[in-house]
Amino acid sequence: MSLLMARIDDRLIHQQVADGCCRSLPARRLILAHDEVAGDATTRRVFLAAGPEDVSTEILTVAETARKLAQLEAAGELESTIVVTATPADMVRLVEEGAPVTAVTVGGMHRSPRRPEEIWSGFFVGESERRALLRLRDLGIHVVFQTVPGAVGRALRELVPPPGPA
Amino acid sequence: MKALVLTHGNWGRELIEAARDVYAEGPPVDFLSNADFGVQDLAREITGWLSTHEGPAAILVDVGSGSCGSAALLAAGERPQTWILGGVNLPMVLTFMTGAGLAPDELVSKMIDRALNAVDLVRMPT
Repeated sequence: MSLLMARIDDRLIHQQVADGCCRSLPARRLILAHDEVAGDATTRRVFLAAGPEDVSTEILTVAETARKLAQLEAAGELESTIVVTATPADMVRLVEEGAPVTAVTVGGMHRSPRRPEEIWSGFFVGESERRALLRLRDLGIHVVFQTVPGAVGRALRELVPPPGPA
Repeated sequence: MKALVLTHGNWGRELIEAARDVYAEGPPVDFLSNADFGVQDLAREITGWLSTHEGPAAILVDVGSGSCGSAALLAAGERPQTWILGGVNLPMVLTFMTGAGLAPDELVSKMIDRALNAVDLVRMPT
């Protein structure tokens, strides 16, 4: 059994997640894995309010999310769950904490001073994002860039081909 | 009072221009798009805009629960006399432009009324 979606999005919970993902996929649960937001009551309220009405929305630390996903897997509820992290590094942490992630969708990684390189069509990376995405690939996780289900997507392996045989 | 229209894409800029075509006077209305920004970077841009003015300010976003609304909430924080209105439309912007003499509370109330009243069933199917 696998997650409905594991998504990297630097806008955290917003329309593309609430409508674009939760409405087009049969999501019943949405988890934002974000240490800083989980620990700040004001910011938590902002993003909890952005969750869709008929989907249970939680904001947990990365470590708490990994534990929660393990519980959901045991209860057979993983396949209706979407998890979001803000960065590839957080997604790597989630995986390394034991979260059952087999595929990752990069939904939003916008330009910023620390992300100057456009890897593809509105998706930007810096050195730390590139390293973390390649780490996900090394962990056997299929990574695709796609804003919302149904939109054109590109696999990481097409954008950064794996090294060939020695 | 100053106002910022904050939307996805660039339609907010067109909205302000359309309002100016109707009412050429009144206070300036600034525009910011969320394109190219993650939510925290967008919040920083809005904070920068808020810091240029000490008085009352209104941020008019397309969807309150979207990234524009969330970024505005994060940026506004505890700043006093700061309103965030969702569902920005032409009547909302026009009311801001024409209501310069009103107290901020009253102006915001009027902006919401005019914006809501514009959502109407204009014609039933026959």
